[in-house]
Amino acid sequence: MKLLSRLSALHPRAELLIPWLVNGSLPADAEPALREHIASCPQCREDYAQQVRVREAMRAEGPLVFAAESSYQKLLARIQSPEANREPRAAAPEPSPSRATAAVRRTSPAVRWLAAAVILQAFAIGLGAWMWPASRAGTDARYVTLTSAAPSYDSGPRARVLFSTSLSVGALRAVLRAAGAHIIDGPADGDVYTLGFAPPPPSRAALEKRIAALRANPAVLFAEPVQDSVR
Amino acid sequence: MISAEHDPRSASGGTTEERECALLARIAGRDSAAMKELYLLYHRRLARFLMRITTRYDLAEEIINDTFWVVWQHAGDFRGASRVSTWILGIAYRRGLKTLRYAGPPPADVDVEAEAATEEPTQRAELREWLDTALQRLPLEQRMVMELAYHLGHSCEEIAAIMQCPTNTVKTRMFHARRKLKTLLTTLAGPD
Ligand SMILES: [Zn+2]
Repeated sequence: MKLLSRLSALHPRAELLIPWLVNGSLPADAEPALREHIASCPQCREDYAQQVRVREAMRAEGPLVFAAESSYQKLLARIQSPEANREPRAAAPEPSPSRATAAVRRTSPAVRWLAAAVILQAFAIGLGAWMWPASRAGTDARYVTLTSAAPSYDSGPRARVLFSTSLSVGALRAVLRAAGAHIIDGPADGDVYTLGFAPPPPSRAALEKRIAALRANPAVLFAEPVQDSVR
Repeated sequence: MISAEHDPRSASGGTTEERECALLARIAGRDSAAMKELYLLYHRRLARFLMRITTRYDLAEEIINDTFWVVWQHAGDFRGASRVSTWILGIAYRRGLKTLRYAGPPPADVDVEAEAATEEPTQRAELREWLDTALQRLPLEQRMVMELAYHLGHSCEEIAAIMQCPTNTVKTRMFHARRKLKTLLTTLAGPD
């Protein structure tokens, strides 16, 4: 009787603590009492055994394979971009101005060249696209369109793309042509360009094909549809 | 490497933690080799954790890189108030929620590109598959607590820090998650 009432009093607390006994993070002083309860409580014993199995299964390797290296290359491109150096450090003063500034503010000439090349290219092809400079750069002014019969890029799907810094102007032209895409904005956020597609806007499936074609090009480090724009 | 990936505690706290703190210090000094090392240490566990939020690898990858972008920018601000893994997971969790709000509800299907079907017809693989499905049915917060506790091995207090909620909330979320999983498990598992 006495034992039973002690059991039922401990049970609700024990129930809450079982997962942390299972994952080994329970404070050492809480462990003996919990183990004692589990030993005497069939319900907790069953629960404990089941949670051990669940944890084992969750720790097992899944079928997902993640390409860490290629993901890191994308991050590296971002870190090495001039945008990274313009990024204001909002929190706390820089721990060491000498190391935090000198190394980081070193801009990559290749990336700068690419930014210039892309904009030149956009004009050379005669896109008739709206060109915005990156809003982060501080200006909001729109450039005028190059032709009066410019197709509107205000609606329709968009994609964000990061090009390799080794991409030549000619290769860039080929990439854009193959995807039926035009640069309509950028660079922003680590030299990411926004692409629009010549009207009529491609269907979702067609867009996915074009983005797949972009991704297939080794000079395209990153290509993703802009979710809000895809309908 | 394996032990650091799966059980931060197994390397008796000190070693893993000291190593990661040292990496952070080098990252604060703009050492990109250290950045790469830390990134590769965390990529898989973050990817798995984030795939529970988004089910889309492209988004998970974006959040990982956003997370490490923050790490790159703020490594010098890390004061060791928590473990490095708690700090990084906390950033990833918040970035994940933010991205999720922006991207809208996740689609039901998993990105095919992220999937390489290497089926092993063992019982454990079956249970894992079932768990993947079942976890997707749990509310986001419950799913996260399960993942943080069982896959990543975080303590109740660490999960509270990552999710920025009281420890009692963590315990309650875990409790409800287990209860729902248990119902599904007994239905699906049948007699042993
Ligand atoms: Zn009990």
